[in-house]
Amino acid sequence: MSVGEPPFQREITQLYSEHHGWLFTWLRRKLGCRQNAADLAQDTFARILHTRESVATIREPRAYLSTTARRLIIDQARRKQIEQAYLQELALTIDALEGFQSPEQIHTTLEALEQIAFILEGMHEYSRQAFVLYYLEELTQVQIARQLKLSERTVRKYLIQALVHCGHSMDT
Amino acid sequence: MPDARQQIEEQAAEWMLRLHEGELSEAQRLAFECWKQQGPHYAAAAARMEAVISRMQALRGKKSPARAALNAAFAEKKARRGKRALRSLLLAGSLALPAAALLLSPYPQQWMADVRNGPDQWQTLRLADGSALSLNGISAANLHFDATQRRIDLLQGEILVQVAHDQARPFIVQTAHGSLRALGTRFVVKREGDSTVLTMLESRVAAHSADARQTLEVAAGSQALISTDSVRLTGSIDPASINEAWRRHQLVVENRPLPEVLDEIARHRTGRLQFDRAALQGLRVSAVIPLDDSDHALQLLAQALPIKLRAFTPWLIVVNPDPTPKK
Repeated sequence: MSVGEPPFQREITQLYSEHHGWLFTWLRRKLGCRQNAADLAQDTFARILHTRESVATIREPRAYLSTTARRLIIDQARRKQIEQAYLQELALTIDALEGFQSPEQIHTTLEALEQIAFILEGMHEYSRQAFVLYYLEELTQVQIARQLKLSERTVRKYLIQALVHCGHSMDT
Repeated sequence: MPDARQQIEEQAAEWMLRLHEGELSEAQRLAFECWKQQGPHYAAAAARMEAVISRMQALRGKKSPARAALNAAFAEKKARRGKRALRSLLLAGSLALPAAALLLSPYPQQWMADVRNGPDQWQTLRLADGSALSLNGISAANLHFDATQRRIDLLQGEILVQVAHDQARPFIVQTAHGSLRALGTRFVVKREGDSTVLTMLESRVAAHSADARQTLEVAAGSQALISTDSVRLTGSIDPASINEAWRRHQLVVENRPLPEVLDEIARHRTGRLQFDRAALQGLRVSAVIPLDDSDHALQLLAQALPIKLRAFTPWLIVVNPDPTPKK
């Protein structure tokens, strides 16, 4: 760190040296891919550099970094797709749902969906499907096995994998 | 020790499944408690998984929209490929589009249409016979052009047709509600809920109801409503102002209920426009509204009428009646 460095540069350098290792490890466990994790960790710091907001006052740097990484994975385009699909289906099923959804409720649900999408990111395709069918759709493991054309044992194995993955995603 | 950690996580996942598979016996519950107390990593691993599970369970009240949203989140790459393919096919300018490749697509009929227009878009296509087809807002049509016919199936939305003269091949616009046979001419066709609205700008069109019982010749300056079993004139229009509105991407309304105008604006927006139809039905609008800037259009309405706009994301705007009078 040279004396002539502007304060912002210094803050970032400090954030980087203290937390880059943690961010990379977390992303590697989450994404299961070293290369993607390294790229995303770099992109996360690049994004913070680019916004030029002061980072010295951040009280929970890890939460800040993980949120920034999440925004990069669930980017604008993807967020838009989630919202559109949700609102479109909501409009179609509005009568079947109990009660009217207030805009605030819709907003909260969209936030929740975005976070879940991030948690599920990096999960094996079958694990993700089994996980959603089991915990959202309330299907039994037998029904899931039939739907995905897998054995029950395999479905159980995928569910275990999914849960382990969720644990990693939440481990910030 | 990553292996030990992995083992703890797998054990935690086992417990999560057992908890979900049925009631635990007293002995099992005790075993789970003991397991958690082996160290801080154990209870924490279980707590993280429980947190995700309860987030999923919280969405059970809105299962199908939540599922649709998650599917969309992970179908992203596939969808983009599909759209790009459709666009390049359109660019190829082929009118008899080979639809077979697209039949496997999960999109509804509209997404596979030969020509499709999105919100915030206006496009005019020059057809093979020299006719011109303009689409506005969310619209879709299939084109059937061959040696014996020129037919446009309007699936959704609104089109303006400028028909080129061709003695041998009649020009027909078809909807679920009826068919319109052009007698050399310029007109606008719009699909609404259970009917089709024909607006004649030049010359004449023969309109037939879908059950073929009713036929009416509609002349320039008239508007007609076609449903599956009837065709009737609904009033007169000013062709010049409608031509101008299409040219300038505007909507001209004369004493129409606000919900109808909002429906029209919604067709031109990417996001959702939510409103209580019954609460706004009493408000009537006469205005010229810009359709290529729907945010501005809504603001204009909010200035002129006792309504309040609330934007929750760029994708959701809610329109409510505003009981406090405007200054």
